[in-house]
Amino acid sequence: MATRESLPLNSFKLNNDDRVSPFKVAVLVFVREYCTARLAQLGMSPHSHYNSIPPFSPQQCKDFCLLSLELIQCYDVTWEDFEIILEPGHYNLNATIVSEFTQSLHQIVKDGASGLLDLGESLEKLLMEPAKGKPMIRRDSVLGIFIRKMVLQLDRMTFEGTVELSNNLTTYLDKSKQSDDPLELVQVSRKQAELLVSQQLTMLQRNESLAHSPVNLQKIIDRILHENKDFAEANFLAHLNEMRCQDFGQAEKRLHQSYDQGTISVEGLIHSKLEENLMNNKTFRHASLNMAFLHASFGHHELAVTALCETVALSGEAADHICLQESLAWFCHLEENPEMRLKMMERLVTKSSESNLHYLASLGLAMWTQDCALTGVVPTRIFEYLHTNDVANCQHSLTDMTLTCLALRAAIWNFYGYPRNALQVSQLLLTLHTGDPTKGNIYYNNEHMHMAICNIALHLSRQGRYADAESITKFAAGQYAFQQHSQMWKMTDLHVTFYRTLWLGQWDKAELIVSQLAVFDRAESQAKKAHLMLCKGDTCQGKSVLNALEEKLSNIKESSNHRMPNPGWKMGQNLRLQVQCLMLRAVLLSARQNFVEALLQISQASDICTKHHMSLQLALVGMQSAEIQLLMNFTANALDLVRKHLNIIYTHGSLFEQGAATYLLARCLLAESGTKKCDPGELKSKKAEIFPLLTRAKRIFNQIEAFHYVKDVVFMEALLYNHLGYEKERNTRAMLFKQLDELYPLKTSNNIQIFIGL
Amino acid sequence: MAVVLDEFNFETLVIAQDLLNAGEECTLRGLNYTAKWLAELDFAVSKKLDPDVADSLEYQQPKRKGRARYILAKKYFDVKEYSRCAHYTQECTDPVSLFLHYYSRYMAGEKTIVEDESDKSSETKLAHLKLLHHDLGRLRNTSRWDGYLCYLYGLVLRKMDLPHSLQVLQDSVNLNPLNWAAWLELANLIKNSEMLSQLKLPDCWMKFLFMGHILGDLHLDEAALNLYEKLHQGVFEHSLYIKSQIAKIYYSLRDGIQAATKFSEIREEDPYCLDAMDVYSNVLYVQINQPELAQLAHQAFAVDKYRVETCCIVGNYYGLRGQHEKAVLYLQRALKLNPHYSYAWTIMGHENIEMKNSNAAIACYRKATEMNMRDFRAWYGLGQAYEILKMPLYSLYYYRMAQSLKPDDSRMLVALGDAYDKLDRLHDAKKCYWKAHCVGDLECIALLRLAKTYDKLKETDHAAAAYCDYLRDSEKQGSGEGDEHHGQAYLYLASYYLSKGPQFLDLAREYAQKCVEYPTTLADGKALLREVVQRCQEENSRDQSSIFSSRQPLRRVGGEDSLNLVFTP
Repeated sequence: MATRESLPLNSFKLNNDDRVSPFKVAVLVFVREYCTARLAQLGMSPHSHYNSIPPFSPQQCKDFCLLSLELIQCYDVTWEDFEIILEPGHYNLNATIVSEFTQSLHQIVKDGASGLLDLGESLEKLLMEPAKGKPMIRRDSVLGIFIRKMVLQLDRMTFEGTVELSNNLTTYLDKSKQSDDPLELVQVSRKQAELLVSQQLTMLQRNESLAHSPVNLQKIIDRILHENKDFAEANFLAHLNEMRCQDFGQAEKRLHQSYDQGTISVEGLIHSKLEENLMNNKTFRHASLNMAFLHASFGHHELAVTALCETVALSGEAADHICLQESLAWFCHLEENPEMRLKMMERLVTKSSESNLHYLASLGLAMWTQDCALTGVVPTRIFEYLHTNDVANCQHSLTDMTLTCLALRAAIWNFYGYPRNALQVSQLLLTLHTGDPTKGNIYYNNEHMHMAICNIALHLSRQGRYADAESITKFAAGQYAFQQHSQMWKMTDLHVTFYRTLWLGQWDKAELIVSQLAVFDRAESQAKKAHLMLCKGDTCQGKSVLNALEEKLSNIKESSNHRMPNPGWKMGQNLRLQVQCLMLRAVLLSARQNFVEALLQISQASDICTKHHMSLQLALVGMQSAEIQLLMNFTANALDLVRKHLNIIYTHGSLFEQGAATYLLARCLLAESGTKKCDPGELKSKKAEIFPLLTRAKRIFNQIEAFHYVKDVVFMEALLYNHLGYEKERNTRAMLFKQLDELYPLKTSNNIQIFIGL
Repeated sequence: MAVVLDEFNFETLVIAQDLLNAGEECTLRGLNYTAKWLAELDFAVSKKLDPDVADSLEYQQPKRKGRARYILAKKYFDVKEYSRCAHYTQECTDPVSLFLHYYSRYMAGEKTIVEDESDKSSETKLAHLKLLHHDLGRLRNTSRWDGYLCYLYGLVLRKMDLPHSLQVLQDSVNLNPLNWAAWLELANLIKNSEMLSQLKLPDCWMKFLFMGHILGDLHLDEAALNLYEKLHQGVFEHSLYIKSQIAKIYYSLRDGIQAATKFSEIREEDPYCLDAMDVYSNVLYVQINQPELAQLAHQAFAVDKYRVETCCIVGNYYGLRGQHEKAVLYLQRALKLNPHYSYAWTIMGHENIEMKNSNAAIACYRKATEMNMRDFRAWYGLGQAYEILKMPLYSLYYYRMAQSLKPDDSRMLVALGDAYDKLDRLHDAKKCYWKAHCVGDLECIALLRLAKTYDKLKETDHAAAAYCDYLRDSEKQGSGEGDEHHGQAYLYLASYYLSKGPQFLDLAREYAQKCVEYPTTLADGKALLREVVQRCQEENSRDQSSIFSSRQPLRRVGGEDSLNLVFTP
């Protein structure tokens, strides 16, 4: 955020925009050749070798005009590239013109200084009126202005300058100089360096994967800085690059360097008068703001706040509203007290929209929306905010914020338990047309995109399409390997793999994954570890892990995990983990036959879910409650609960959740049939009704490769067939169970289903 | 200490012979500045020798082919027709002409760069270096490779900022330890004492001079001074170079008087010497010795007004007179003469600070740090500039840099402490002030700040003890400026003892009476005094019987107590 508009300004600008470079000489010669030929065709010049060629077609004239416009505007290209441009295929040009052009260019090189001086003279003639009709090039046309500027420069040049230009032209045209010297690789003039730096800056902001890799970029910057020592922007780029590598010391050094240089022109210090150097202190405010950004992104909370206070003091003195609002945005980001945050954001949004700072207003609104959603504001209101924000973003063409808002919308849908809607929004985000043709057509490919991709991968895994999900994760890995948010895909991957190994009953492997996850997110890994322990039936260790997790969750400061930018499905992670922790605690207690306490935990969990409108999570808590009540033989209650929540799970739940719910329903029905007193025939038919449910559960579990659960279902089928007296079916099921057990042997003493999964 | 040096045991005669040989060889090769430096040393060393012995030394010139061609080329070189010289030495194979060829090519390139600095694109600036890099690289593993060529190669590499320049220069001094220019280039690349300790250096007397130079550069002043003193007492007794180095180190150790004496000795001996006189002008500036500085400026101007040192001296003189615009003008001239002169950049930064132009000051200081990253004054200046701009967090970084370059300088530590203080990191500030006090605080300011910090942290006992020590130390040093602070210290102590309890009332009265002596604390002192008297009366009325028996010993206890207070953080 702070990278916007806060580049070290006024890094001294050499007034070399209009300097005649070898490339420009080539362009001039090219224009001259075309004009001479054209004049010859019009019969106004007795030039001999052009008289023979046929008149140019309208297409050729048009192409020449387009090409010359392009050449005037672009930065200096090497001679090789120039020749490639002139090759047939790109532009429709007359071959004679091209060959004449190269010949006369080489002639100029041969003639040395006099060739250049002659060139100036001949160009001036083109602007003057010939004997009859209009001049070849109008003085006030684009080309005319360009030529006049260049001629003026050529006129002004001292003899040394001309000689030097001629020498430079020689090296420019010299193809043999290409060597394998590493120094030659990046040969950039000041202006090219400026272009390169600004391009890289845009790419870092929008689409990091297009930018050079950190190592290469550093090499290029070193090269540029070697030749232009006072190039503040290059140092700033280096600063951002170091931030990519998470190297605080170097990043700090570069930041200082860039702003020290950005303040003033050093050349001016020696040569010019001092008054010109007195300027306002805008750069310092940005310097301070960037310092805050640096500390904030390395988690130095207090230092970041100190830096922000400095910024506020400086900008307050200078009445710089923009800087003040930017600082306020950062304060919102850093504030830990939720109520304070909301107050600050309100102020940020109103103030920014008053002073027409649309980006900040939009950002503030997004943060506000997120905070509101997490504090349990009614969903309708949340979507209203999102809508307002979308409209504002469209009005002011804030592509960046549009992406943020879409990502936020997806995260909110996920949070409320509507992953399908989240998927839809993520796809919308990915297909959005974000390239701006006026700015190099660089498509956005930032953290939000990454989030959307992870969302899709997660969704596919939830549907049991592991192979597809894997290929998507692989894609993300390729795209975001070196970026600051690269942990996102890794975490998604680990998240999925954990449950897969868990369902296969590979405890050791699952434990390994838990420890890998701990690197990225301690709380998440602890929750998973507790889950694993309970699955294993190790209630003792499970309890200690749960205790640790509870302590951690109570210590996490409210705001720390809903800061911008929000990592996708991690929005509301704290709440989700709290609910999961309560559910696991309930399972633990029921395993120790302490059902009353367990149900207390469950009701706490469902309270949290209701308060925050987390519908899918609520359904899962309900299922867990039903599971426990079934254990307590409260069959009717359990059945009611299952039926109540089944719909939402079937519509939005993952395959695992659907399978577990179906299996639970089957067990409830079975238990219910046992309680009612009716004749054996009716009982039998009732029990037979359960088979389709079991088959469905089995199919689902098979699909998601949860063979551990398939075994349970098959076992139950066998029991039921035995009970009903179908021996043949019973035997096939028994055999199937035996086979599965040999393939996936498992030792566990846990018989309570846990409703936490992908 | 990174490098331990063994005893300096080289014979004077050997050194003199070495100097003679090296001087002649450098002259042959056109390394004039090195030759000059060697000649100066030679002159100093020969004074130690018996005149007959000194005269009997001579340089054995090796026989070689193409004498006439060489002499022609050398003459061209001497009159600065470098390209012509290079042309005539193109085909030569003997080491001297070979070196002359490459060196003249290098000089030709440098000459054009200097002549039209701003006109050139960066590409052409490097062109001649690239060619030299290429050609010398090819020559490197042949039999014609020698120490001088190696030095030139290292120089080219350093100019191109290539990493292996360190290795090449190290090879060069090993191949030919008598080439002082190579040592100097090598010194430019050493960033810290660790790098220094990893160097493999030849066992030659020249190493000692190098060590002195580099130790001084790395601000390891004590070690450098030791070494130089030893050299000065021995062979190099008459060397002005050693003397000026010693003076520089005294300046760095903030011993202005010693530095000034040394410099004036040098001036007496060699009134036309301008080397290191810019440092002398700094010393005089710090001492506020305007007449001497004026004289120095005058004389320097007479000797050569287009020397960077002269411009710097004049700049300093104007700076001392408070005419900062003129000072800047002369410093600009110095920088036009040599844009790589970091000293002038630093002083220009100081002048800009004086003129309240922080932006320009920052740019100047930054430039100075780029020229010489060990220039702690520039880092300190950057910190100051940002402090003026009210950006303490920024200045903290620079003060830290300055402090790490000069860890034993109390000024840096106090500045660092002030920055922490402004950022409300009082515990860090406390540590800085304490360290500043421990390393020897000439201005006596650290204790005062320390006391104030303790006061802010509500550690009143420590604060009082620090104030006591401050008063004791500053009285010992007899600094007259601290009057205002003294008053405050007394005031604090008085109110501290007043709050301590009845048995300290006498001390409180004593300090309150001192307060009254200072104009700034007069009113507060009187009020305190009145309160003390009132308390005393209350005490008297309460406990009249035992007043005489108890007061005396208690007072003694109180006095002791104030000395026993420990305020180690």
